[in-house]
Amino acid sequence: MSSKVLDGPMFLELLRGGVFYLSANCQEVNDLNVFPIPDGDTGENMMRTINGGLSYAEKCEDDSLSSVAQAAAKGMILNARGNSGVILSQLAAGLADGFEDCDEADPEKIAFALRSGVERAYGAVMNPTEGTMLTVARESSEYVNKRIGDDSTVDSVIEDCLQEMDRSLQRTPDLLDVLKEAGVIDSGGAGLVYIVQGAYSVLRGETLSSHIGATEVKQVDITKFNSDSIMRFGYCTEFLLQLQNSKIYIGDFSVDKFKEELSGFGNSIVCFQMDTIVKVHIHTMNPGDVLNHCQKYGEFLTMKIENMTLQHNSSYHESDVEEEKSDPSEYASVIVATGYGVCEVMRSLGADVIIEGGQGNNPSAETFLDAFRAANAKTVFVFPNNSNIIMTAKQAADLCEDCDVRVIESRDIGQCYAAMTMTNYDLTDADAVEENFKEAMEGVKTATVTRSIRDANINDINISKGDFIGFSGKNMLSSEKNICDTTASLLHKIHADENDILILIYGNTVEDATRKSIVAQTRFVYPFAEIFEIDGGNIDADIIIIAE
Amino acid sequence: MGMVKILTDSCGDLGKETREIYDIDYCRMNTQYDGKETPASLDWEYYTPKSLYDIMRDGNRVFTTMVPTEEFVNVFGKYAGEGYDIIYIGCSLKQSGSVNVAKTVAKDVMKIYPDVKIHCIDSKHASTGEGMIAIRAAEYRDQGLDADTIAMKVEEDLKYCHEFCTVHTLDCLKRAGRVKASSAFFGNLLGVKPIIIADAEGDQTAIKKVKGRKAALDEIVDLLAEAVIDSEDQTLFISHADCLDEAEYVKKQMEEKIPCKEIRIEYMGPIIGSSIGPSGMAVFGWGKEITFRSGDKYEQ
Repeated sequence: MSSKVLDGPMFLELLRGGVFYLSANCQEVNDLNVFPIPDGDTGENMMRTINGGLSYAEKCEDDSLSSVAQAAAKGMILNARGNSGVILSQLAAGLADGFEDCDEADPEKIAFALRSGVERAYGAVMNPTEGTMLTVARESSEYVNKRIGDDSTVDSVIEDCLQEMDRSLQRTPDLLDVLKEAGVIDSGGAGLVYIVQGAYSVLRGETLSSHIGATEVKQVDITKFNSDSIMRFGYCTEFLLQLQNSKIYIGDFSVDKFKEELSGFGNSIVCFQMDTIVKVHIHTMNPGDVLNHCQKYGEFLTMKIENMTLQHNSSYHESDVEEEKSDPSEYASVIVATGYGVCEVMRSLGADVIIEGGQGNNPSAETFLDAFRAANAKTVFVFPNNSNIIMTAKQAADLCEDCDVRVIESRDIGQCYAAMTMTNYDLTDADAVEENFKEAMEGVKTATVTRSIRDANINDINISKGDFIGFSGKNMLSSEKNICDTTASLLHKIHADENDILILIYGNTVEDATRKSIVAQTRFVYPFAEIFEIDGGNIDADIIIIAE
Repeated sequence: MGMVKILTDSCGDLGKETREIYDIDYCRMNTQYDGKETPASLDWEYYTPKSLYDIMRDGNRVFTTMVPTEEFVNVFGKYAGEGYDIIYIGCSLKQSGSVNVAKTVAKDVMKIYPDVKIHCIDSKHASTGEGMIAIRAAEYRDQGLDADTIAMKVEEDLKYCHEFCTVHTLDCLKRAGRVKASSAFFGNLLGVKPIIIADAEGDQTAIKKVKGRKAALDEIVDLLAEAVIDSEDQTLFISHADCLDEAEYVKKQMEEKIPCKEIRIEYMGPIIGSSIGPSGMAVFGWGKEITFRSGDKYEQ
């Protein structure tokens, strides 16, 4: 159909399409989250807002455009959730203002109402930010108003609006740095596009369920998951399930109960029903179990299963490459560390480049030089974390001509922890940053528990081969037959009672039961300390203790 | 001259006793968990602090809503109907849109009661900092000032209200989108505690890191001691998220370091608690004008 006027009943249909389409894509909008964890709620907020508008509009007894639009706006304003919901409701309210006293609207009037919606939404926000759904709404409204002419129809207006919205949405990261950094487009803007897409598909007479098919599988580099990779994030599993009379009595099917059953298989579950079709989205470690379960109710129409660990690894790599190409940053850090878990922690503390190395595995100056280059900064701070490696680091620093390299003479991982946790790149200059690192290092204690490989007598401590020993720096402090006693005695010797923070880094030689009893005894003896446990991996020791 | 009602909201973190002393009421926001919406009572009428924080300790997120339109309609309508002028001191617009909603409702209510004046003020603060500004308004009211004058004076005064807050991690605040800070404040901080202030724009901004909880508690007291002016004439406030013992410790430190009339301890209510997570601790007082904005370099 190609209509010249928009009336109340048609507006309601378009709104219904918008709600439907947004709900089908709700999770995707949620996932457009600047914070890289699955807890975004923009889609949910917008959905609940517009759904409130729909239920008011459906109850509206007068079918003039003005009344239906007003009812929808009122419902949205009352049900607005979150900033995106509030802005959406204001857009709707402004749209309704624009249709005031209209039984129906011609394309010119629709364009006017769109502009009115944008004005109201901008007015409602104290400091409008560009690169958000406000921009998407504004630019599309401007485009529609520019294109309006004698041969415009309702369809052409909505089509223009949708096309420009889509373009505008893709531009949002250029306007808003947080989006660019996170590699996402604006979630509120995306929600808006889905709503208009829904309206447009109604205009084109499409059946709505054809739109809720599985989304395209993203392109990923499959070499990023190999025979040694660990499955950490499970599978994003999405499908349309056609309920089957041959399997169940469909009238008794409860989507809430169904959803509850699915919760045993994974999380991030989104699930809703349209007639006899159920859309399911779930993150699960075992997609097969989910499919087997669901097949008891019907058969699958479409399906998509993605390895989220692979997606994660791929995007991880891409951002690394991008960083190398970019302009050098002001500051960066290069850290020498041993053990998978320790490296992870250092990365999370802000280490830019990590050189695998340590006792018995000292990196070369060339390795350092490569690391300095990879760090790609004007000033690079290096943490050797071993007295045997400091010299090499300094030499490499002398050789390096690309940047200003400063060696922070950290002798162990504890000093590195103490400095890195207090990183402050906002200080006035590189000297101040360096000074801040050095100050932060002072006073931290690092001690190590490991097994003696021979008989010895050091510091009046008798040690037999195979005993556990505890030492700090070059100071032998304790030796006992078992690891728990050695750790307890070592903590006592380093006066751990003076410290607020105790970090226990376990090597992969230490079994879970031992870890549990060590942390329990430490909690008991030092009730006021905050205790952190780190699974260090292959750290060339049984336990490293950091006390601060 | 008309009577004036002072209102704050669920973010104001003033306990029942304090609200009674200063005759202040508040508008309820809501918490959302597991699909259920519950009014955010500053007196914990619907659930205990522990049950809220246990949900968060288990790694789940409790969502919060701004003050619903309906709540403003009811509360404003009630007091306007009784002939009160109304001053609503709301949570910083950087944290909640409630003040904007309130302004819209106020317009409608004033149409029904043309003689009533309603002022909706963005306190640019949250928690008991917002509450303390409401108390300031109540004190003006008790001096006999009219609503317009109170609103004007409070708008000026709120620039001088200081908050220093510490939390175990910024993760809750970051997830809720309620804090500004550089990346150095996030991730695995291993015992490092961020210090947060309410800046000149009303943003909650992380300004520095301190090692260890005790050092952080001492630091917020020291920072307050530096910031306050004429502390002898002031009632200072502490608000905490379910850690009364530590709040008592902070109070003792303040008594030693800052001469003042009184120090009151308040519970962080469900809204602030849901954003900040268990063990949030903040101290408040009046002092020099706040000029710091997020992104500035914080000078010690």
